Amino acid sequence: MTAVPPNDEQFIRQLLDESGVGTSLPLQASLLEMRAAGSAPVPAPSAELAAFMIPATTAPAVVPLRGRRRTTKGLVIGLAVAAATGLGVSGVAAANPQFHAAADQAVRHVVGIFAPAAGPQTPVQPVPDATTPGHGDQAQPTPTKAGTQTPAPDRQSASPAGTATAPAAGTGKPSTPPGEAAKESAKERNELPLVPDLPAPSGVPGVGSEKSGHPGPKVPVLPRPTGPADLPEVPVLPVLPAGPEH
Amino acid sequence: MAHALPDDVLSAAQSGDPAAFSSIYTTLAPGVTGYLRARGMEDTEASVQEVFLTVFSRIGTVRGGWQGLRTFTFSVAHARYVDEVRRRARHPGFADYDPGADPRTTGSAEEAVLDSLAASDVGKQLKALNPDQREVLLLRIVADLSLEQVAEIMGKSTGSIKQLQRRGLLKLKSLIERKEALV
Repeated sequence: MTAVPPNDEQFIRQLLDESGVGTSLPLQASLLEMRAAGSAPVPAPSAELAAFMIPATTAPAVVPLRGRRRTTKGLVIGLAVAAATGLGVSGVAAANPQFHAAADQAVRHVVGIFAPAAGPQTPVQPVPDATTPGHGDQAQPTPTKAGTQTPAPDRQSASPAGTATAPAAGTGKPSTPPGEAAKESAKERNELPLVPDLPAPSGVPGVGSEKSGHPGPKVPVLPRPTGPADLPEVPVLPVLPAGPEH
Repeated sequence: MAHALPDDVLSAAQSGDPAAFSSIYTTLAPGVTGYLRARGMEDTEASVQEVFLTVFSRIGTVRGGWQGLRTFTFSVAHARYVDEVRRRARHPGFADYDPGADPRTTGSAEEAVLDSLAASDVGKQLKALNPDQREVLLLRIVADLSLEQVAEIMGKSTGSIKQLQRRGLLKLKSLIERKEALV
């Protein structure tokens, strides 16, 4: 092989012998000059080319990017699974009528537990307060009854006992309703919509009493301020005639 | 002249060893530069960069150890030159101002040596040769490749390469002797 000759002169000689060309000094000089061109200085490698020759140090910079991609992938997968589950449940609900019944019972049960919450919906009722202050005492017991799901009967029974002693009625009624509630619980679940109607007359004070249970006594305080309309009436009739007589 | 590197340089480069790439470039770039310059490429340095970029990015496809890598590298350089020739054929020649080739300036010693070949007597004599003869002589002498390697690069048989080499050398010799006689 002439590829790796000892030196350039020997290479040129071999080349000429190989081709059967007679050697001459001018030809050899020209060929040596041509040969020297193969030892040209190396141009500095460009940045793109130098990237191959420099140990890679960009690995750590890549790691955080991969991490972010993984987290986003996890989020996307999680959302996809949640969406698919939701679609499955809704599909079952749409396809299976029994699911409707079961869901309805479950919802009603939950509503029963939070029945007082149905009372709170009556904050709209503050309007009736001004019209009928006297009913406020009756309404106070009803919130506690609403908790037991038997508001209507209790009011009727409470109304006679209770205009004067509203707090007492509030405390005593919870004891009695449980029995009634046990009896009529299933029937009166349908009457639950009536609950909002009943507290309506009581208005705002009822809301506070329902949540705490004991607030019953507090509620009477609120109707009393509204009561002044009654007070003036009572004193006026007896006092005025009596005053002038004495 | 380029010295031989061990065959495992290729496998090291294929495994991504930066030192292997560096030694390959240091060893082969002079020959590639000289070859492309002798061919009269317009922008030799940029062409050298492109050649080695191609070689390094396709290093995984190279077979045959060190000699195979040399053959592949000059194959890329040869293809690069052929592309240049075709491009010149399609487009009119531009008369760009080349400070390096401006005779009114005094270049550095390196530039004088580098540009000597294309502008020297040998360069003029080479231009008088058949393109294939010129290519064979440059690949054999400047790139320091064997007959078989040149045959592989040019897509010809070893015998035809040997014939081209013989005729090229004979013509070169006659040109030189004619010039000697004239002087």
